[in-house]
Amino acid sequence: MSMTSWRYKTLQVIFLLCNLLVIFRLFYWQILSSPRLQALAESQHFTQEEIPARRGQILTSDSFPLVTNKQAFLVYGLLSQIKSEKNEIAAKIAEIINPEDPKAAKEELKDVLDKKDINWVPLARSVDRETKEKIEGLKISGIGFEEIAKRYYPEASMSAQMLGFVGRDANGREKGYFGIEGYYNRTLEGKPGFIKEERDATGQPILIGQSDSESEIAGRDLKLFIDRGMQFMVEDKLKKGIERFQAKAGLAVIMDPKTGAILTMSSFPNYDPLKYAVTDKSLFSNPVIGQTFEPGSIFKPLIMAAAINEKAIRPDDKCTRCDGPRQIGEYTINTWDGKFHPDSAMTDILVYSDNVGMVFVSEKLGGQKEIEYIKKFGIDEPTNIDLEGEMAATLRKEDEWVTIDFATASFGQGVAVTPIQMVRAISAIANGGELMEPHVVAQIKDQDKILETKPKVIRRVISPTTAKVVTEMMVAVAERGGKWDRPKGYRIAGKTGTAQIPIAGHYDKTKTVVSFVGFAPADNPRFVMLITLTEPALTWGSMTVAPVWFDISKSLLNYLKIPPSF
Amino acid sequence: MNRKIITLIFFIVFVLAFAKIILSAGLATTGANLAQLERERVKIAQENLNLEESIVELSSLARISIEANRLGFSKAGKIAALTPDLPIALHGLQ
Repeated sequence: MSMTSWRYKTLQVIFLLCNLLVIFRLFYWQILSSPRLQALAESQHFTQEEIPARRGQILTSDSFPLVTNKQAFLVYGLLSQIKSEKNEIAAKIAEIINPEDPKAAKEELKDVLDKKDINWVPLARSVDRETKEKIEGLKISGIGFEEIAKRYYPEASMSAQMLGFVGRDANGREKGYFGIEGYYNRTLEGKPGFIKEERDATGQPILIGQSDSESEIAGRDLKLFIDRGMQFMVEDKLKKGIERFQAKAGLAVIMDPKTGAILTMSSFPNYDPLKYAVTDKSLFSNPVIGQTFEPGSIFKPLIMAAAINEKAIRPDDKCTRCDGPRQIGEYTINTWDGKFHPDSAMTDILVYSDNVGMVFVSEKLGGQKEIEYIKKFGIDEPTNIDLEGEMAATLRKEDEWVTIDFATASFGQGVAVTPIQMVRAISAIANGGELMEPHVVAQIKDQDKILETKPKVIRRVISPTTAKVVTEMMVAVAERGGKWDRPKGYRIAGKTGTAQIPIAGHYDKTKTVVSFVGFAPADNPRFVMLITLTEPALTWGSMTVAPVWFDISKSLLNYLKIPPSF
Repeated sequence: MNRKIITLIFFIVFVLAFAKIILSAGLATTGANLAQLERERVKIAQENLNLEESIVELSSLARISIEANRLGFSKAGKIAALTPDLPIALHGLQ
């Protein structure tokens, strides 16, 4: 091989190797790295933004927003861009975001600004527009703002436990908890959209560039049956009643007996839904649906209705065993005031709230029927009210009941109910005998349509005749059962109750839950109302909760423009 | 003849190219205008929301109750219901 041929072949090999190298690099960049480079190019040329969905509002029956959304801002700091002295920045911002305690706020901000391992730090959450503008006015470099939506409660903490609150789930997304916010979370939250578009070097959208988008779907608004004026008035009077009688807690619930619509629902103590993060968790539960109590004498009309419906007794029958205490096994049943009423009529048993008389009624009815009717009145099942957090009180198994249990159940001890179960049961007497499903939400409003809640009858419990008879008995209770300041010219049906609170296996005589349940006008009821006070200073319902009930009912009858009937 | 056709083709291409440049430049600035209009739309929508917020705040019962007290309003006293007289023909039945 000549020298020239050897050089030529060497050059050929070198060129071939270089070409192979180039081909390999091209293959690497264009084939193997293509997805990564495409994504990088997209991220430079395309921007994608999530369009948050507006959370639905919660409106009262007059379309006033009980819960709505307000513009708020997250204040953040980019530590690499903060040039000024951090102490000074912390002091200035603290004065604005917490004028009541700027020292504590300054210390917290200083700790955040002194962080070393991160660049982006949150300084204040959910500040309103005015606060944001004040901070902006300080013109501190490195401080930025991110717009967020914040839940806003124009009526402050009105109906807080019924409404629930909006927090964050494990992924940081907004989520409703408890009450309406929890039950209707999927309906209220909507669906976020997105917009992806090609932008030029200055960040402006390129009209003829590629783009993709999906519109956000706003959350649906809810309109309640709750009447704002009634709710405000009831809360005000309930609060005053609790303070006047030095009770530990109190609640009021008003229902339309014919439709199951909840017109008001209040309980104290309550909380500010905006401050749920620093609130005692025990306050989140709505006692109207989530806490049980032994109803005491307000349970008596149910047992009386059962016995009359079964024709076990007639309204004009006399109690033949009401002349003294009743001995049942090792237990003695007495009246609440130690007075006995021999040969009392069935109406008088309710008027005098006679426990011994109720044992007589219970024995006439029979144990099996008693349990059957307690269940028919819905005491053993959830009401399915549209609120998150309902806890249904349930009865013990039938084979666990003994004689004393039937006796005590007849006057509302030894059974547990939730207030919503109780008001629903009494509504069955008020409306002629039908058990209704209670509802808080009247309408779900979409952009295109409105879904209405229709009244739902669960079952018939008693006949219309029985309902009328028991109504008249309850009217007699309201007229003769106590010296109350009743609304003049109205026939009102009602019953007081005083139940001792069971503590560690026995009843504490000094600790009671007092209640009054009733409806008006008796002949054509527009509302059923239950009020309870827990551990008032005076232990008897007729002296505490009954006056509160009648005071509220006066205002209600005027507010609803119900004229007197005589 | 061929030269004329080639010249015409070049002229048409040149005009189309020039038109494309003008159009692209216009679209580029339109993009900026669009962004500006979008910002204004968002600003006005936010102002509407702010005004709605103010209305809601001012018409809350909690605020009205406080203002009513401050202005000296008091709760209504006795309320009387007025019932119309029955027609004479029904008086006898009554």
